[in-house]
Amino acid sequence: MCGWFWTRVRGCSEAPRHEQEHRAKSGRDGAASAWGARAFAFLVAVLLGSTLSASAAGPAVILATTTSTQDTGLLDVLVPAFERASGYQVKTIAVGTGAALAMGERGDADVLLVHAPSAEEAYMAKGRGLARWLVMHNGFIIVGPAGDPAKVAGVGNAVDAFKRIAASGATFISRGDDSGTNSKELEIWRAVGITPQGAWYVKTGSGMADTLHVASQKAAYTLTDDGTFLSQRATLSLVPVLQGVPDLLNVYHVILVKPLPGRVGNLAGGRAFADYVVSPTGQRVIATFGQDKYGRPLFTPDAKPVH
Amino acid sequence: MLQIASLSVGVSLAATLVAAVFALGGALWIVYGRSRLRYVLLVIFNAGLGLPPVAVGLAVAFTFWRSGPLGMLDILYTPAAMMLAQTIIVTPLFGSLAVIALRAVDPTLRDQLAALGVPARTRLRLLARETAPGILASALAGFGRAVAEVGAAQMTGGNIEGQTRVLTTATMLAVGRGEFSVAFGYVAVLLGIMTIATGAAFVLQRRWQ
Amino acid sequence: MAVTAARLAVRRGTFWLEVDELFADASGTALVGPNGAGKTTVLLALQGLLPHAGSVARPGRCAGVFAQPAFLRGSPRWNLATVLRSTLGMDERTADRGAAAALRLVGLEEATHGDARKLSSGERQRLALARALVLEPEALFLDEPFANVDAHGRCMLREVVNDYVARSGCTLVLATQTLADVAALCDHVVLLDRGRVVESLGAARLAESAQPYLRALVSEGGPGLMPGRTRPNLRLMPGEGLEP
Repeated sequence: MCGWFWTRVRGCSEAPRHEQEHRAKSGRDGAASAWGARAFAFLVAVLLGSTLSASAAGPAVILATTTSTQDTGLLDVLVPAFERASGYQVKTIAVGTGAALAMGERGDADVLLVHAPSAEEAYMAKGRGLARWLVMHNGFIIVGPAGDPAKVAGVGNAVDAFKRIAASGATFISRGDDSGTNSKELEIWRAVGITPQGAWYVKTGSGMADTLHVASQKAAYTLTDDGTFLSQRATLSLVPVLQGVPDLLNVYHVILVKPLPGRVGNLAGGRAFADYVVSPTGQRVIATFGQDKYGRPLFTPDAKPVH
Repeated sequence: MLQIASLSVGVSLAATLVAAVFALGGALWIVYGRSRLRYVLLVIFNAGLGLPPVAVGLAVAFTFWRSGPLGMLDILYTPAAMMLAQTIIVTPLFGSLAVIALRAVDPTLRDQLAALGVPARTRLRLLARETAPGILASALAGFGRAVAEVGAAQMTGGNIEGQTRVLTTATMLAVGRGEFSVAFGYVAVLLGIMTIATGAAFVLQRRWQ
Repeated sequence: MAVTAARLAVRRGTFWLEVDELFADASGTALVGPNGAGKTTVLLALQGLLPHAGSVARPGRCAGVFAQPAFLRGSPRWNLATVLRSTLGMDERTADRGAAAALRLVGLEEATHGDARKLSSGERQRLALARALVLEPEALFLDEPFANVDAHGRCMLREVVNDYVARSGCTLVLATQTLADVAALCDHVVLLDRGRVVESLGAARLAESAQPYLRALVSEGGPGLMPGRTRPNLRLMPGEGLEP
């Protein structure tokens, strides 16, 4: 079809190379948008799938626990072992003991694994737990600079050690975050009879590993749990100055949360998890954890049901 | 690592795509609509730019944890909750940039095409095509914000291994554990993703110019 | 087919336009008048792009050229081909060939590739004209279509439009500030001022008008330039013709 102006310009035939270029370009555009549509559909499917994949046994079990159990890596072993054995799906939310207990109070978790006995007892007294069982323990350690300026080493208990640190004015790093370790630290200060404050008392508001690094940088003292210190030791310039004494015991309990009426939850799954960690199988997992990496286990299992 | 990276990309990409619906719809209304209410939306979009992502994460968590008003849906600590928070974070940014992109098109172009007898549906398609590079840049900005966000991702996802662990929350965990080389690894992958996304957008824009 | 308007009234913001009647056909109608007189408004209303009172009749296939042409993101050739495909439903090959031919017609062969939005103002006007003509419309609405084109180009483009109108019988409505455009293309002149038709007369009688604007228009053309459609000194120089 050649209109009036086409005849004016020396015939109708066109340079073919322009045509081919034009066709190739639109072909690529078409392919790109088809690929994009497929990718989008795939994404939606993946997301929907992962959302709707509540296990056959009901909604997932929400385990609220402390950062130390997660940071040591124990949960990376214990939880999958439980999931395989029971078929439940567990959502591990590691927030720190204070937050975990708060979650239990609100009914936002099914089971708790925490290590702040006095706070836990208060929690149970409020009637928010159906059961509370001892699971395992390890020790807290007081660590400090190699030179030990406050002369803590050799003192027989934590209270005296803290007294010496406060008296010497050496820097002490506190987590200040309502965690189990922080609770223990504050308990010891209460036993000493002072409220620590001043330039020498630094609060990081951070997890254990971060706090250890801060202490290492500042050549200061701090209270840490055994497991985290072991795992961080290589990168720190701190040494243990007091450990193995009775008042530095770090005890972990599992608490089965009492469900609140009208809420989504998985009591059966929570109970199954609590049963698992105190069962011989679970205890064996705990007993052997850390062996291959650190040469000795990080936790000592002690389960016997306590009400 | 692959699982974490693909989850990061997947959640953020999905959030950007969902945000696109609201952002583009809103932007079209703002630029071409008639009601005076559209300026309210424009103000919301611009204000949303300054919205701290962690505040969004807290609000979403507060709404969807079991004790919250929508807790019965049990979607907290899933990728869907993360996607929801990220969508809220991305929409204002995407929307305000989209408004700029739409306004960059010659306002008489629609009439000029109509004067040439181009049918309405084709006009719409061609005008949409005009705005494509600007919209793509807006989408990329939104995606970047979503994929790099850590506070809301932690609160709404819980950083659960194999389920809601993304590059940013995995980095925080690795740092918390003192595993710095691992943390750097995650950060490198995150930077790589951003580079690929920016590069892809750049190439597409060049092809379209 | 002709373009007619009866009791046309248009409001654009605070500007009111009222035209009692308007008639245009292949003999060409020019809309002249000072800036802001309403020339563009009339053109837009005739093309159905502005809400208006009164009636407008126009043929099925129209094409318009705006004073500030706007193009799509793409090469000039692609712009033309897209219009052909969108409006006339042509297939890609034919549309592309038509686009190439139209570009040659307006002297834009060199600018076939590259972005249409990056053309100079004169090139844009050529492209806009090509875009209108490529559709082979039954009515052309041109709004100051040659204002930025160089002198040589203006001659050529006027010739192109003239030729097209002569062959196809297409109705022409042209808004312009230039006497040469009127002289080459239109037999009727409508003078507008502040939204009203002041005078409507045949182009041949322009010199006799008492209207100051029309006198100014005529005097600008210089002596010897008389309105009329076929003017020897408006044809292209020998050897430059597009006629074989």
